Amino acid sequence: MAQKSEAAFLAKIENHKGILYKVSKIYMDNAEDQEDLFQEIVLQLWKSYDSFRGESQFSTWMYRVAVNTSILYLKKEKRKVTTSQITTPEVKDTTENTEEKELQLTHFYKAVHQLNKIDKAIIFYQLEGFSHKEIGLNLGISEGNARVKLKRAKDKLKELIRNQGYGF
Amino acid sequence: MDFKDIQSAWDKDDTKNVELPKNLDKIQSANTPLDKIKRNLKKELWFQVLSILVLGFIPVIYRYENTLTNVFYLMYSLFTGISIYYLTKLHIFLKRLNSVTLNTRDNLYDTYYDVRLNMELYKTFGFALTPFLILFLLGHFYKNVFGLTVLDLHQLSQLHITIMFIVVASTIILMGVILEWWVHAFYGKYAKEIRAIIDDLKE
Repeated sequence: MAQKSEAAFLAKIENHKGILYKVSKIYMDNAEDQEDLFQEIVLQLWKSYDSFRGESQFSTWMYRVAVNTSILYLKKEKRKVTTSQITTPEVKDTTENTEEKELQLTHFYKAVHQLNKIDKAIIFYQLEGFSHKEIGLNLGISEGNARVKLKRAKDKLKELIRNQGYGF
Repeated sequence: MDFKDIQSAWDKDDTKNVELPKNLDKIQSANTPLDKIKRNLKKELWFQVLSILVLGFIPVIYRYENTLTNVFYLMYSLFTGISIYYLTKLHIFLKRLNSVTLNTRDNLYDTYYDVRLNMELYKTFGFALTPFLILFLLGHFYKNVFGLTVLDLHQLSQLHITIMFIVVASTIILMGVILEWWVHAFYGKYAKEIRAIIDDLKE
């Protein structure tokens, strides 16, 4: 890639911005931290955009950068005032999102925040439709290890949701 | 609820109103371990430059005579050279891109060894400067504490030699302890955190 254009980059990630939003929501438990992580992922994607050579799908490359950034991301100790030009990712309810679904998601996120960083990545990949093999490839572990880890992470998640008093 | 419900709720979670930053230059980064280390190192770089400048005035402050001033500046140039060498090396080392596009395991190992290598380099830097500190302290004791003016080792009594030995030994021990603490406090905690994540990845 000879010259990277900010506009072209932003147009490219526009189609996949939901991925960034969802991964931020899995890793951070409050809106401010989610926004910080969201921005950090966008920045890391931008910084490493030159390294994307089109050998893999853009979305595949994006998942990898997003998850790696989230895993290594540290919560800010002191909150800085960020520029007003950055818009907080905010999702408004639509009629499709029923109350029940919202409640389920609330319980899910509350539970998933208690998992370790690797388990969060595994659950995220699973929900995004990745196979065991693909999860293993992205994490750099074997397919068997990915399967075992996914099973354990799901069991933990189930237990955590039950502990919240929600039927599972 | 079961996992199918979670999947369905996840798929239906509407993200079309999510807005991307309009201007990437305005994003205030960064909060990864390497970025934090870079920031710490940048602060230290300025502090080191300032220290080197201040140390250059020691002969003036302590009113060293000509011979001692020459010896001091000989040592000082070596000290400055070593500092520049290590600080440049540390700076170049940290300027390398974080391999965030690798798979998670490789990315974690890369970052972990980058942090560990940086820590060891930093310790070596500290130890490389220790002889200069020792020489300075010995000179200070020789001239100001023992009150000796001419450089003649025969003037040293058994007590003087014992005191000098204690100064050398305690400086080495103190530098070792301070360096270990410093590196652990500012860099080690990140290495430990990454190590814990790597352990979570193992079978």
